[in-house]
Amino acid sequence: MAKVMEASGIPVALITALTTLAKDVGAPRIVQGVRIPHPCGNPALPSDRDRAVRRRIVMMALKALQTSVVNPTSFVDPSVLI
Amino acid sequence: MRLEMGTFPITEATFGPRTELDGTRLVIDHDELAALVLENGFFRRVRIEIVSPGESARIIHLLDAIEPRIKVEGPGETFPGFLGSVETVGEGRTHRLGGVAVMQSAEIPGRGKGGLLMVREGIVDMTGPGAAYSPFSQTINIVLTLELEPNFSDEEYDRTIRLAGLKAARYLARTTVDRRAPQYRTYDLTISCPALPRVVYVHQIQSQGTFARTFFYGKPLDHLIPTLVHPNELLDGALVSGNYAYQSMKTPTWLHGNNPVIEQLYDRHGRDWNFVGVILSRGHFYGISEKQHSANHVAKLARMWNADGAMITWEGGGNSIIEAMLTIQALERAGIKTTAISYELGGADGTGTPLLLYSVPEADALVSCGTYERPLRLPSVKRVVGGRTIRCDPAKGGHHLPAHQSLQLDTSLQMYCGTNQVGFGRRRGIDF
Repeated sequence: MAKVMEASGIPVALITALTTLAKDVGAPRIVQGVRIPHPCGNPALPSDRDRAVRRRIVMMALKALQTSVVNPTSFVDPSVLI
Repeated sequence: MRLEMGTFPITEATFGPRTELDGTRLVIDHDELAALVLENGFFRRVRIEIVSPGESARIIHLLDAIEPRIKVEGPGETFPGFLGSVETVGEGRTHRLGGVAVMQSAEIPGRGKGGLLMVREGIVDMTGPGAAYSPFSQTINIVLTLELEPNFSDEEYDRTIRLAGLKAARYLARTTVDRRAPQYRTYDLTISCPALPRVVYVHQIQSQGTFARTFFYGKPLDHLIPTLVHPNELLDGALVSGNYAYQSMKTPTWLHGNNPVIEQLYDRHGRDWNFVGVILSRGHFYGISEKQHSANHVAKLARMWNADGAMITWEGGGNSIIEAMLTIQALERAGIKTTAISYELGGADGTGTPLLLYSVPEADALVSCGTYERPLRLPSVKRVVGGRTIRCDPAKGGHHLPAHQSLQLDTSLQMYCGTNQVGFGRRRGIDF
């Protein structure tokens, strides 16, 4: 879906735990998510820290949208990884 | 480590006054078996039915399938960690009833838990087109339909259902204890021709949580770091399945003890290769680094074993193909030639993409065990065992269909072991 939408001129940031898979299918802007069951946050953390993690992921996704890319490109904020 | 497996082929099963073996006929004392199943107190009642190949019958709500087995000589117990201590098995002598499966059937309450780890419908058709999807259409099935007492936890149901099946299986195999088996086979990894290439089997199982779990000596493998095991341990019941997540691509306990890959690696051991052992690994890790970590450890263990070749199978579907593929890559990069068995996708007619969710260039020798993506029409049957209606799409809230009628299924995901990746199937994919 990310590929098709990009092709029609809409930048798409794909947040996923499985960056390898996203790269494999050619998604242009790949944002590192946390885990398969919870890509956009970490429910194991206290809620204020989870909120911070979620914010960092979304900020990274916004950065990805503003970056011009040619090939599949990964955007990783190491602090969100467990 | 030398295991002698005595097989008592069974051609017929009936109820009778006393549980015994009469030649190749298994006679079952219904009430005694029922009392054994009910003794843990979680079931309101049990219905025991015998279902034989060729019958116009459909078994539904299937959970595990277990081969009747008993340890008659040597250390440990059948299904160690559940029915006995955790003493290491795989030596001595074990008896099995050939061609028989004990199965539990139960409607486990959904409880709206959602997600991927819920119990999904499992179907065996004993005749017609569905029989080709169900390897267990060829076995005599002793089905325990369990009516659950209300208000127990998922974990309590899960454990009790498993124990009921394992105990029933051992009970039936007890008929063989003082007898000599018509067939014996010895499993021994001793190497007589050191020059032959060394081959390892990588058995990637599924173990994520309740209802999607595999046990090794009774312990869940949810946090498994790849480990070395002796194939005889697996042939002797060390692996027990509690995996009901996707019934078409799972490995029930019956199959862990009769794994065709292990059987065939043994068949040609000392002739075409030396089978050196099994690496047990787990798929479905939730992050890419754990997946890579698991793959790296498998390759490291195979190198420590001086393996020249590896055979890998992977249980379950979805993202666990990533561990399987990364493992192939890590093994090939370590100079170990690797081949795998997998189902394929490709849509209803097999021409769609992708054929696999994920692949690596090193995966250049794959064996297909068919697809589940083809729609399937099952004809009506005379007899339904395990309930009245089948439950479709539980993840979407579930809807029920009368089970005896003809069924139009979008996929064959519910067909029990229809695309299991250890190759115990009646279907395959051919590249043409």
